[in-house]
Amino acid sequence: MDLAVTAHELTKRFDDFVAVNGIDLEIRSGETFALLGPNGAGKTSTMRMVSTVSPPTSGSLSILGMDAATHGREIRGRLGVIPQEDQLDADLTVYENLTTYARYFGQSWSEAKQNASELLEFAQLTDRADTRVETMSGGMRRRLTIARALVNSPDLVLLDEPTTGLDPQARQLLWDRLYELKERGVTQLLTTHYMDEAEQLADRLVIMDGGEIVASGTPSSLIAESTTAEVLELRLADEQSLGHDLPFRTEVLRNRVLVYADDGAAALAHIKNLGVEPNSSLIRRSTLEDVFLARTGRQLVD
Amino acid sequence: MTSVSPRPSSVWHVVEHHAVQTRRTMQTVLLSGFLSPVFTMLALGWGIGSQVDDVSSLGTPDYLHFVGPGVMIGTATLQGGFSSLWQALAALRWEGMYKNVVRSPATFTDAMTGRLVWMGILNALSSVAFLIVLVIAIGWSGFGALLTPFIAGLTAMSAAAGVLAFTSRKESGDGFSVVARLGLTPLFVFSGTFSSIDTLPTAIATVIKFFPTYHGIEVARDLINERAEVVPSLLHIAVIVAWIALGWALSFGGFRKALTS
Repeated sequence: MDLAVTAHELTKRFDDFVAVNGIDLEIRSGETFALLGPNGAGKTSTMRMVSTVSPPTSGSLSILGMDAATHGREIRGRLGVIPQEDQLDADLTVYENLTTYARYFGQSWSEAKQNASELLEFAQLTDRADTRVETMSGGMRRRLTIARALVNSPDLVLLDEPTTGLDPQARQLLWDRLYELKERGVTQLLTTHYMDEAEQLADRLVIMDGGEIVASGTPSSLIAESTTAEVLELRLADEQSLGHDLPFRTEVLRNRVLVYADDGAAALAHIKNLGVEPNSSLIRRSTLEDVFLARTGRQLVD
Repeated sequence: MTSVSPRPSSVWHVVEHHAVQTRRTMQTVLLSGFLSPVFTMLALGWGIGSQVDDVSSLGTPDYLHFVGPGVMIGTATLQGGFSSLWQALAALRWEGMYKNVVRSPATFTDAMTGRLVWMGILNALSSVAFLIVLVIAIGWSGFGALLTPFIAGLTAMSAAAGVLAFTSRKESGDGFSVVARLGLTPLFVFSGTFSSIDTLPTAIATVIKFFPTYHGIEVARDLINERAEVVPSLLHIAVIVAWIALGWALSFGGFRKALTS
């Protein structure tokens, strides 16, 4: 099995604060791997270490077969990094953003120009080539950021919260581009706090919390291992409660109660037979949100 | 441990990046780096110079020969120093230019070195244009004058490096106006730009000699007036280069923390 990233006991400390606490990671070449977790879980710190921008405090980290501690330049030459914030050159045109950045990867100007044309097509920005970035929408900027991260035809692409702040249409378009990359065999490591994004894009994932990995596996295996097939969501009147003798696991949240059952409809019928009449009910399939809740006792997105 | 020594090719890519950005603001650059100082020089040289009866103490044929090199190097100081305030902070923190740089094979030392080299090149080029006007105004004085843009570039780098050491540790522009008003502007005015520093109180003249602008002006003035000697000129240049090295070294920690923590 060819590994793109191997981390052992990877730790990052900022003075007394431990951002990443001795995690182990193995990311296979060609797969899409997600770090899922709430804000402050340690996802971005992990990404910065894998991008060889931020040195680990301790532990070992190998990327594309090279030691991150000694081969930073060489590794970064084969990475594409899509940061949380776009950080484009606002005064430059779309085209100039691509060609200027390509030069850092040792491309001649003619190579950079040729690649830029292809990347503009990939990002559906060809008609915007001469547009200055400051006039573009958030979705277009995000696509340009992705295109810029691909100027060196990277073997490993790191995406930090790639769709945060995008409208649903822009998000779907971006997901399509990421699927395309996956089909080309590019390894992708992404962080997200959107569970649907992780489920849609990731072959495997780890759930992080407080700098540690609390669960790992494929999205479907994590759901199968940690929770039931379905979840019944109930909104109850203030004076109502479900009591303590239900044959289902329940989670009481601020404004709803989650009832975990493989058959949500049967669970709802059971609860009504007990004389409880909820204000509203919803049966849905379990998600990674429920996995996170089961593993940590907290919600993923507060 | 990955080497943090600057790599020439990566430094050059940072220089190119700045050059592409500067093309977009060329009007401002031309105005502040060339036209404005040229007008200042001509106004002072011909205007005030016509009121100066005795220039023998200046050691130049006329006041324009004296003030021309002074304004050239003083302007390089201002341009270099100011570029390391808000512009540098934006590149380092707000706009994220250097955060992108360190995601490529380049390192934070390539970013800071490239920035300083670009300041040197930009100001050397501005000074070429300035020199052409000066030569038209005062006449051809010899090949030594051709070295003055190089001195202007070095002086700009030294001012940029010194201020960058301050800016690299800042997260906002607090204190920038103080640096500009109490640091850069006095350096421009009192470094022998418009009159000999011998006219200043001894204490101030002594302090001025610690800074690179005075040394840049001395060399440029000697070159323009065909009186430059090798050893004194090299000593002046050594002070300027020492400031570049000191500023670079003091910027190192700020850049590393801002870009790689």
